[in-house]
Parts: sequence; structure tokens; C-alpha cells
Amino acid sequence: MTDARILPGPRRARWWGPLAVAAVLVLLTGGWPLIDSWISGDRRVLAGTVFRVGPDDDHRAWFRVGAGWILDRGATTPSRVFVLRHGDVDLSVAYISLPRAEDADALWTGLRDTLRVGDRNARLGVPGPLVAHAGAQGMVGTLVRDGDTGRAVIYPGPEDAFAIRLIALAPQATADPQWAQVADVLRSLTFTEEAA
Amino acid sequence: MRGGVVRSAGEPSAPAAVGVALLGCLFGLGVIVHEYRDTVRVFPAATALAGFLLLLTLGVGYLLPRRIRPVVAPPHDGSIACVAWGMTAATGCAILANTGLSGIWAKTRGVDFADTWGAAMTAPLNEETLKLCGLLILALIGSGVIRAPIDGWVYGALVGLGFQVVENLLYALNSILLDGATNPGASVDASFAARVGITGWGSHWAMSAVAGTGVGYLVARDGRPLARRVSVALGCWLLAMGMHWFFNAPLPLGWRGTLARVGVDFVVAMLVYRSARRHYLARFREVAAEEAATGAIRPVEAELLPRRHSRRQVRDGPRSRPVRVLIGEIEEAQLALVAGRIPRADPSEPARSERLREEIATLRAHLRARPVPGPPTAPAGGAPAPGGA
Repeated sequence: MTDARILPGPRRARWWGPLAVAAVLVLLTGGWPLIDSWISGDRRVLAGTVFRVGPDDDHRAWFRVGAGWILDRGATTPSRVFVLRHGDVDLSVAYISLPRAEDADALWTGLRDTLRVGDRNARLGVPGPLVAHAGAQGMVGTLVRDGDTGRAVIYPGPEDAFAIRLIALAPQATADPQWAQVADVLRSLTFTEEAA
Repeated sequence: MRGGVVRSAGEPSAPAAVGVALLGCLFGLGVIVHEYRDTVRVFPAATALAGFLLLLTLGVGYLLPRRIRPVVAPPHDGSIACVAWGMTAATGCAILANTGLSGIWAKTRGVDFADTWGAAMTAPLNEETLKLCGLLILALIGSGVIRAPIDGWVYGALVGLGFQVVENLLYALNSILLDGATNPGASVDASFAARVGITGWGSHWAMSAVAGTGVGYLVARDGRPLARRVSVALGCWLLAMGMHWFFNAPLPLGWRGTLARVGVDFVVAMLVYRSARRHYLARFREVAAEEAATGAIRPVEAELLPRRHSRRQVRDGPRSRPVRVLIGEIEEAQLALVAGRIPRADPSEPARSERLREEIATLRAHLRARPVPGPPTAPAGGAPAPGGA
């Protein structure tokens, strides 16, 4: 074999080519997040607002918030999760898809594993019963994560086709009136539009 | 060098491009590890399952585009570099870019708009551009790697494949959490079944192949005006983004809609492939026919040369091993000669081609000088030995 079978290398040293590609990479990976950080994602929510969480008409639930809540638009995807804040309390309301109805039995242990993703030392208490204002049956437990304390609630949906998970967390010294607002939201969840 | 007829020069003559490529891959890998290490820590068994499925799809996916490249498969080094870029740099950077742009949509157009249209308004621009950067870097590292639009198609498909398999893995890990970690193994299985069995047929590989064809057109030394080459490359990039937009758009709905999206993207990618392949083979046959006058490639050899099977038949006929090796060397030199002449305006081509013609003549002389052990050596099908005088 001769060298003739080896094709020549780059035509000439082109510093601007790699530089242009690097600029595009920096622009996309740094530019969008930078612009995103400049725009405030907070939006104050009117008292009594009802939100619908879930991907479609067969898989959804509603919850109502009182006064003083702020919606984090950057972290909210209505088909999957709402992220809200009230004073020091952070609240997430998430839709959980269940591939099989029998998977509903593992919702609480699954929640324990999910919490460990964010904090390997997260602690989730034993679940107790909880009944929403409109009658939905759920389970509630105490929660400690990243130094914050709070409550986790799971409501299995109709026929265990899906579930809704609510997690409220706040610093330990958070005042009771704020928790009262949170408790109202946790129990406002319903799977029927009429009740919402 | 069987399997890679021509290869680019090995000297590190493009350090800036190599540096950008390495930094991009390391950065992207770092982002992926940072974003998913906690999920991997909590769900090691499900991650192992997802990793196994990734390797399976990667193995099959790596073979297909290289196999359908006409005449010869591209060299492994360029192919692996493309897959690596897709798996690390493109995917890792896309995580940051998509998060940023999705947030902008949610904050400026509202959460309902972002939920419905966010993917279609975000992923096409970010992901098609990031994948395309890998091909441009490859072209900057070695201009001999991408010599025709068909090379761009194959390498583009490989970049898309790398992106696709890692995205499948990350979607599988995400699905564990979206399913509430109630059955991690089943979540991984279901995610892979949908993304490999159904949507995988018209996903990233198809879009990047179309965009890559434009890069192949742009960098091929065919003497076309720069404005035309840039226009075609931009057109292919926009078409890839359009395919991606259609793939992510929330219409039409239902499983029929999903199949339609996958089918349209698959058909578009294959139509582009068909066109690039036809042009490549036409030019290949044109060059091979021209070489009949120089004696480097005889007319009957020109007929057989583009087909892998025919070459193998000629090479592996009932002959002694040294003869088979010589025939293989002649084929390789002929393929290198034609591949080198495929671009119409390569300034280094005439000198290199002349040396290859001399090499072929020398190899033929060696072949003729070998004693013929028995009856005529033409294999089944009548393919003649290249050295037969």
C-alpha cells in the first residue's frame, strides 16, 4: 500500500471554524439559561384559583389554592407538575403515571426512593390516612429533606390508573398559619370536575 | 485496510478542532453525569437494565447506516467519533439548552403553551444544531472524511444514533420518577419499547442524516459555488428541524399520529438517502469508466467494483492465498483511486491518482508473475481476476 491511498488532512489551519462551532455551543448551552435566569418565573395566583394537573381528560385531578400563593412558571408543566410557594413553604403537586393498577401498592415505597434521589438522607414517615374535602382517599406522612420538614400526600386516582403526589416543605421554624394554608391545598384535591 | 478504502491523514493537523471536539464531549458527559448520578445511585438495577438496552440498540444502530453506505463502509474512527459526539456533547449540551429555552417559553408565553408546544419550539433548534456541530467538527478535523453528501448522510445518522441511544437511557431514568418509582424495571422496559420499537424508526438518526447530507454537500470539493453549497446545507438543516418539529408537535393526536410522524420522518430520510446514493454511484461509475482509458480499472472491473458482494466473490475465489491478497490489494487501490476522484475539484487529486495508477499497474504485474496452478480462475458468476492478462 502506498501513501496515495491516504487522503489529505484539513485543507488549511482554520482557527475560525472550530471557534465558530465552539461559539454556537456556548451560545446555546449558556445563552438560553442566562436569558431564562433574567426573566422572573413567579406569578401571583388569585385566591380560589383551581388548577388542573394531568395529561388528558381521563387522567387528571384538580386542586384549589387560597390567598398568597405564587406559581413558579419555570418549574411548572401542567400535564405533569405544579410548583407553588407560600411564604417559606414550597409545594409541588405532581401527576404520577401507573403502568399497572397493582403498582399503586408501591406508591409510598416508591415515594421514599424518589425522595432519596434529591437527598440521600431524606426521611419519610409511616403513612396515615387522609380524606380530601371532596372525599378522595389518600395517605399522608411526615417528611424531612435537605434540612426542611413537611408533609407528603399521595392520592391514588380512580381505578388506580394514576396518582397525585403533593409534597410541602419548609424550614423548621415556619409559622403555623402558613401550614394551615398548605393543609387546605393538600385536602382540596379532587378527581371530579364538579367538586373542583 | 480492508473495509476502509481511504482514510484521512493521521497527523494532528487540526488541533483546534480536535480540542473543541474533546472539550465538547467532556463537557456534555459532565452535564449528563451531574444531572443523573443521583438517579443512578438510587436505582442501580434499573439503570443497568437501561444500559444493557442502550448497548443493544447502539450495536444494531451502528451497523445499519454503515452497511447501507454504498461501495464501502466509512472508517471506524470517524464513525465512532460521530457516535461519541451524539452521546456526550450533543446530549449534555441539549439538556442545558432545552431547560433554558423551555423556561423562557413558560415564563413569556405561559405554562400551558410551554406544556403543549414547548418541545416542538425548543428541541428542533437546539438539538439539530448541536448534533450538526459534531459533523462540522468532523469535517474540520479531516476534510477527507466527508467527501460527498452520502458521507454526510451516514455520519449524520451516526451522530443522531448516539444522541438517540443516550436520550433513550435518560428518558428511561426519567420514566422511573414519572411513574413514582413504583416499578422501576417495568418503567425502563416500557420506555425502551416505545422509544426503540415505535418512535426510534423516525427519530434523531433520520433528522441528523438529512442535516448531515447538507454538510456533505457543503464540504465536498465539487467546484460548486459557495453560495449554492451554503444554501443546500442550510436547506437540509432547516428540513431536519422541520422533521423534528413535526415529530414533537402535538398534532395529530393518538397512536395513529405517532405512527404518521415516525413514518414521515423515516420516508424523508430515506428519500434523501436515495438521492445521495444515486448521485454518488453515478459519479463512482463515471470515474471508474474514465479509468478504463488509463488501464487502472477495466470495464468489467468497473461493473463489479461498486458492489461489496461482487468484490468479495472476485477476491475470495478458488485461488491461493497470496493471489487472493494481491487481488484484494488491487481492489483496494482501485477503490481509493475512485474515491479520491469523486470530488471534482480536489487540487491534490491528480498527483495522488497517478501514484495509485502506478501502484495498480505494479500489483497487476506481480499477479501476472505468479504461477497459475490449474484451470481458469474465474469464480462462479464469471467475475474475472483483476490481474488476468
